[in-house]
Amino acid sequence: MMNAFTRSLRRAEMDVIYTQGFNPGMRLVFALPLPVGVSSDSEYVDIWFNKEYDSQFALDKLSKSLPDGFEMLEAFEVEKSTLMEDVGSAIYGFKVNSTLNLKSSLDKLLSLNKIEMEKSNKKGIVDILPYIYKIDYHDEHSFSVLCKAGAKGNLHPRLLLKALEKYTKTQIEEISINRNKLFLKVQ
Amino acid sequence: MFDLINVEKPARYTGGEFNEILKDHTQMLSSYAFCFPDTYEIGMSHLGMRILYHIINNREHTVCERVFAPWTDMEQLMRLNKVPLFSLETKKPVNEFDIVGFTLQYEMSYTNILNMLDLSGIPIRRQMRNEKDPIVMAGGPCAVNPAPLENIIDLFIIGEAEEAINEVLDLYEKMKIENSSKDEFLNKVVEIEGVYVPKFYDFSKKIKKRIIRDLDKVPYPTAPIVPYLSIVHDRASVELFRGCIRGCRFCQAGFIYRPVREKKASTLIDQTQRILCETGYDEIGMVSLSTSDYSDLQNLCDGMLEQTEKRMVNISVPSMRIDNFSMDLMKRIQKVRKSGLTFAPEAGSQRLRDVINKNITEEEVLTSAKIAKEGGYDNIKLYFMLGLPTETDDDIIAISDLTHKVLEVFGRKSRINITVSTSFFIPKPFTPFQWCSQITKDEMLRRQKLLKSNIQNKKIKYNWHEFDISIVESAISRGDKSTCEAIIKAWEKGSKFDSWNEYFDITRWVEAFKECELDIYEYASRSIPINQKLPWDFIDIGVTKSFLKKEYQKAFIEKTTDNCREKCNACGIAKYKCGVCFENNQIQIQKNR
Repeated sequence: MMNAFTRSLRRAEMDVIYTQGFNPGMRLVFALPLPVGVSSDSEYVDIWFNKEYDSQFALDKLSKSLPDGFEMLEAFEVEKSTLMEDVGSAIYGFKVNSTLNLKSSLDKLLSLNKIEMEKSNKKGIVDILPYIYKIDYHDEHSFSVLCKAGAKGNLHPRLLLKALEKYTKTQIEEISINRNKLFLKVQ
Repeated sequence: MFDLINVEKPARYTGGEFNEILKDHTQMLSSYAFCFPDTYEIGMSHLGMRILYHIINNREHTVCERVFAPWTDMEQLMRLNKVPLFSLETKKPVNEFDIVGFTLQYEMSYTNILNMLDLSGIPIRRQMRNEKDPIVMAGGPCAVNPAPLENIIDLFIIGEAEEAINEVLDLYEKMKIENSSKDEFLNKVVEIEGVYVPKFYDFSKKIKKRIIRDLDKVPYPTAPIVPYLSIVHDRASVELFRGCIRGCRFCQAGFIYRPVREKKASTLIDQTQRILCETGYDEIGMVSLSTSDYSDLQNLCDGMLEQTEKRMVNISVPSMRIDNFSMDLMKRIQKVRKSGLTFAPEAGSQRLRDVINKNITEEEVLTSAKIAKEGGYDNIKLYFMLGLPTETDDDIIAISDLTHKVLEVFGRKSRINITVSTSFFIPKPFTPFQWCSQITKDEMLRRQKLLKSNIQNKKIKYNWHEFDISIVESAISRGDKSTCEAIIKAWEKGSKFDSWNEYFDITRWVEAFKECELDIYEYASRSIPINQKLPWDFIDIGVTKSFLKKEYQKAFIEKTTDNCREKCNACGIAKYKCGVCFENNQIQIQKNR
């Protein structure tokens, strides 16, 4: 993803600012890194330029040099990059295989007082219940979750699957996880 | 179809990369599946494949698509779900292409060729294929000895294929329109120079290798595919020249790619500019067998730097001799990281370096080390070969001595890390050492241990090459028709990805050879009497057998041979009338005036 972008920017011959230091790289920041194996419908990125570009010009130029399958939706100028702090929530779509009655299991999970899970870095226990805002059940194999995301509290989508496994004591096979949307907090 | 999310690195199979070429098959006269018998990451790093993909797709009515060997997890799923091997571009099954072409880069990939044919539903043996099956072609450096694939490949192209492939495809398309049979085509295609068809070979004539006489005029891919997956050589590349002036006696590339032909600096600078614009890569590599031997290096570097500096692009220079010029250059081109330097003295003692004609002295190695130290490098790799003809224990101890002297240059208190790597000598066709034996397995073990016991220093790390793989490689590379049967048997026993240590198993090969009434150990280590007929004698690579014999004899009296720029040694390649031979003539003519 990062490579696809930096190479496209080079092909577009856009004057990107480089980081200083031992291993200079293009200055660009994605709002929230995508976990390994999770697909995504759309992402936000901040890019720093040496030159002032008209938003529409930048959009067109970069669109043309992106590989097939990538599309630029919108571009606008920002005073300063606050993208990473601005991320507030995300919607993830899950496809799974299990013997569970998915609907009742998800309802049961949400009716708990707390959902305590070991953090991925194995440093302590976290209650993930307050991170889950809403779960939409679709069918026996799929559901989506609106959850907290960003630098100040983030729900890793796989942790939710783990929680479901833990509280139902049933194995769940992950078929796919997709990030449907990423929301920024309004200032 | 099944879900690719369950295999390791799905991007190996999906295609759709930037600059991929998609064509409408219904508008084509013929289709060509370019098969690389290894993984995507290795195949996509290979320049030859990039060049031919570009050349074939430049033809208006021919489509070329890529196929790689699926990794074992993917293969398992494909076989389970009865999915045949398919191309990356349009996912078309390989057996629906007109021509299936394999590139032969190393012998240990041969079992993957069989496996890929089998996964495509194409019979392994050419004798078992019929009119419906594609024509199976092969080319690349290992094709100079076609015998080990004699019963598998319908058509070999010997030498550089850029021109020959067009001639073959022109003929194929013409005869396809005329509704000719496969056999009619194969019988006719032998008239093209450099083409070898086992079925219709006329023993009275030699197959002459093809070369490109003027590299500035041959098409070069300036808009190569940019993979999503990180591959082995994840960068753009420009090809400085083909061939090597040096003639190290163990090195096959040094003989089969003769004569040295350079591209002009202006061509390379122009290609650099175009390739960077079209790919967006942040690194470009100078590709050749010995970069320092490029005659116009200063101008080339200046011109390339002009293109790379403004784009924040690195230049990588593999195979560079370390001297003041190159160190200066390194400082300018490598803005980012100091990755470490590699030296390849190949042998520890001056005596043995003279035997192999590696014209580099201990003093030169140590001077290079000193320059590297001043340049701030603290990672040095040293490459050597074990088991070279005439090697004694003294020569092995000399490896350790030389390594310690390099360490001395840096000082015992420095942060230097030295890695010594050894591989085993493998006799290769069309080298002066083609008649020499490979040392036995027991000897390999003993010599390796001897070196290990002489390198006892925390700052020096010793890596060695798998010896069983070297034995099989030796057996195949000097193989004959019976080797072909052994390869088929080894594959039937489960051999594939033999260049990957985790899949290689010597016992399968021992049994396969035994069933062909051969002892693989004896076969690999056999020395061949100098007047005996060789399985590859019917191939003419331009360098004469009498020159190779002379070089063989000079090796044993420890006499070196001048490089092609110092003096013409009449190796026979001048008959191609191009490249360095022509340069030399020029010089002589000027002197005579």
